[in-house]
Amino acid sequence: MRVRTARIIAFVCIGLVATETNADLDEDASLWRVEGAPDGARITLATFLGEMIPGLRSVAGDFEERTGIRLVVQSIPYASYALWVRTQILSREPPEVLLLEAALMEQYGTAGLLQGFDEMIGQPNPLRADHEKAWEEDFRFPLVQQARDARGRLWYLPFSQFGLGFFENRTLSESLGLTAPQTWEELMTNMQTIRESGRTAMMTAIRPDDAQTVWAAGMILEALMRPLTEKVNIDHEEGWAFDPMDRETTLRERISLEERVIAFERGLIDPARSPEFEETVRLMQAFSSHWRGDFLSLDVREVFQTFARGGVAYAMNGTWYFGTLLADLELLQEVAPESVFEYGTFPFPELTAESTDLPLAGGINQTAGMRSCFILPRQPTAEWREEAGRLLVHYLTVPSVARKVFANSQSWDIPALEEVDPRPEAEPLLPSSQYAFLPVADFIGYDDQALGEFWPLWQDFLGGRRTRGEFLQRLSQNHRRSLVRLVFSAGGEFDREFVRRELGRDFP
Amino acid sequence: MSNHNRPWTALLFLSPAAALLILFAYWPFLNAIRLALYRSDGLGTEEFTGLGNFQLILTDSLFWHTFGVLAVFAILLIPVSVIGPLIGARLVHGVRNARAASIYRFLFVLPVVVPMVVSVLIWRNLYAADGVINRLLETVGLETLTRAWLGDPSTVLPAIVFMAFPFVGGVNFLIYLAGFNNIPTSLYEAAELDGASLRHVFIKIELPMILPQVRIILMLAIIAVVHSYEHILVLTGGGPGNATLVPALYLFRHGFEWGNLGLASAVGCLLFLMAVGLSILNLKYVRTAE
Repeated sequence: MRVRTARIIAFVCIGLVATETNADLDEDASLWRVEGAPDGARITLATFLGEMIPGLRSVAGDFEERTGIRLVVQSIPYASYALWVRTQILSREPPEVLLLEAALMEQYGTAGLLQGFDEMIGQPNPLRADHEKAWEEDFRFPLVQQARDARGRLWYLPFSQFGLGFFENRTLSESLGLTAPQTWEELMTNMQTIRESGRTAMMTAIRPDDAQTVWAAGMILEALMRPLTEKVNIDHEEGWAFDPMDRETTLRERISLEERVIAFERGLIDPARSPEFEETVRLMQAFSSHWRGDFLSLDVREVFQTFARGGVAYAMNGTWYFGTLLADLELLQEVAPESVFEYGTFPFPELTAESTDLPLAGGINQTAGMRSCFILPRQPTAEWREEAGRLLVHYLTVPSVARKVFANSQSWDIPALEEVDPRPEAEPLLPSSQYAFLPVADFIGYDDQALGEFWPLWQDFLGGRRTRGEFLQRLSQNHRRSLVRLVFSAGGEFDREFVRRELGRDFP
Repeated sequence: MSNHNRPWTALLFLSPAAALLILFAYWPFLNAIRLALYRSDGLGTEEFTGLGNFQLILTDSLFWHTFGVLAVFAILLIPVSVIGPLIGARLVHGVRNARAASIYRFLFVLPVVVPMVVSVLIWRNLYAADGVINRLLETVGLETLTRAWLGDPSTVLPAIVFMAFPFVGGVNFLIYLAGFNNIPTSLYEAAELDGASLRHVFIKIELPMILPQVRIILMLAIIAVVHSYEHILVLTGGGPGNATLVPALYLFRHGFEWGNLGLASAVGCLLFLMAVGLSILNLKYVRTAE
């Protein structure tokens, strides 16, 4: 798609959306009152997503008019945001709402410092004029399921999602006679062809803040694990049966910590014993053989710059990359127009019976994951602040309001709400989730420490310093330790009796 | 004011500084020792575990790995931190022209004003796959020497140490220079009269006279190597793999990313004991040499 055409389409859509009225908001004044809020009250929404700030500020005035509470949208730096959040929460007067990525936040939920969404999500959004469906159904499937922690609790409410796919140098692809691959085999074949022509097939970075490869591994693992869903979800509603082609069958189900422990001890989700984990790693290892070899020293900026200069055929990334890519190509148009190429996008390819010998129950769920989410810290000094935070989140997730936020933002990520369309450029990466989804296993592990321990292991494995067996063995140890930690932190809430009945012994 | 009131006056003037020192230095230190005996997430939950945290650390292979990384840093960094500024200070001390000496002194110390993070970010760009160093090597026909400097475990540690290049300036340079300036000129005159060479003067007169400075700088270098992690956090985050994971970064991870504040405090206690032990050895050894 040419840059200029894409921009024109985007601007027209933005213009149309920006003039929309909030017809789906319930105008009942009693819904907008926060009990105990003093005159001149003020609440804060803090985010490191700078691209969202203009959109959030565009609706702040309307929120204040309706509630009498002034909304301050605060920008925080991305670097070390987790530490910033920690100090804010420990101060006992954190911002009422946080709009962040979910990494490293779970510990606050476990410590009782966050308001959970579990009870709210099953009720309708009270600010929507049509109080019919549960709030959860407003969100694109299966984001809410994906947002749950290893114990099935919901601390984060999705606001945007990233679609993971491939950005391609279409000019180069066409010169080599290649079309966008639909399947895993076609992708591998394309990359081989590109490399044989003397060009670089793909670049990627392998770092905690460049998690593309892990998202890819996560999608593959989820597809391979799907046939095991009934064996893992053993504590379910009476009469429940799993149908991989019907996403409704998993909407009300949760994988609890107890089920996860039982599944791990039975080897179903133990990386060292699970054929699905081994197959995932095998496929990623084959994939990595086509990457430019210095991936351990790269960061995402270098990948962006090299792709924009036409130095690589494919870049695997998420929807947020559009903003940077379009800006880079515009700059290139000015300084070196002969270097500008036509870019394209295609979604993550499908697994087929040719890709793997393991049984498949449906294909890849295009659900790379939640990008930004709302987090509601507890407000120990004033209860009205908690209520005001909840009210704000309900407000921002009414489709007309969310539409306005995204229209006025510089974000290409996909809105988490079903009724809010993404930008046209992002549509090819719109997740086409077709299959039932239940987070049976996590590729990385189950708590923040597991996440931290995972990255060096992943780097070592992809860098060729660990064999597949060693990687899976170490990953298994990390997973088990994370489950042990979660069991300890659950304390009396962990159903030891259930686990003992199923396993015939205690855990750990 | 009578002599009788002086101790109280001194106490009065010292008390604000003392209060701040207690509040921001001693209290956190003592609290860390207490926390080391607890399982704590730093968010309010504490459970007494005695020496449990120490047991966890000492049985964690990753912890011992960090000491291996620290050992490599120490072997590479401490000698250059001690010897490099010594050479720089001796050279500047030997400059006869006072104006020139002043200019050199200024140039050698100037890099200190650059914030560490800025310096690290500049080096990160230099070491990038398409960075200046690799481009330079390609330009002069040495493509075979280009590397993923920060992505290759075999080069990342020396690359981090090399960030202090040319190793001759900074605060250590000033400390040595002060030492050289304090050497009585009569010693130099006597040496000249005896026909001593420059090498003899350096080894027999200057070096023994600046041993107190060497002792201080060695102790500071040991403490810095044991405690520092900020530049590694910014540059590599402890990667690739855990190739640059030092004990202080291991402490930071546990304490502030993984919610294991008790365990992090235990690591801090062990690092404190290590720094104290090495400093005592340093004091003993250098004093013996003196």
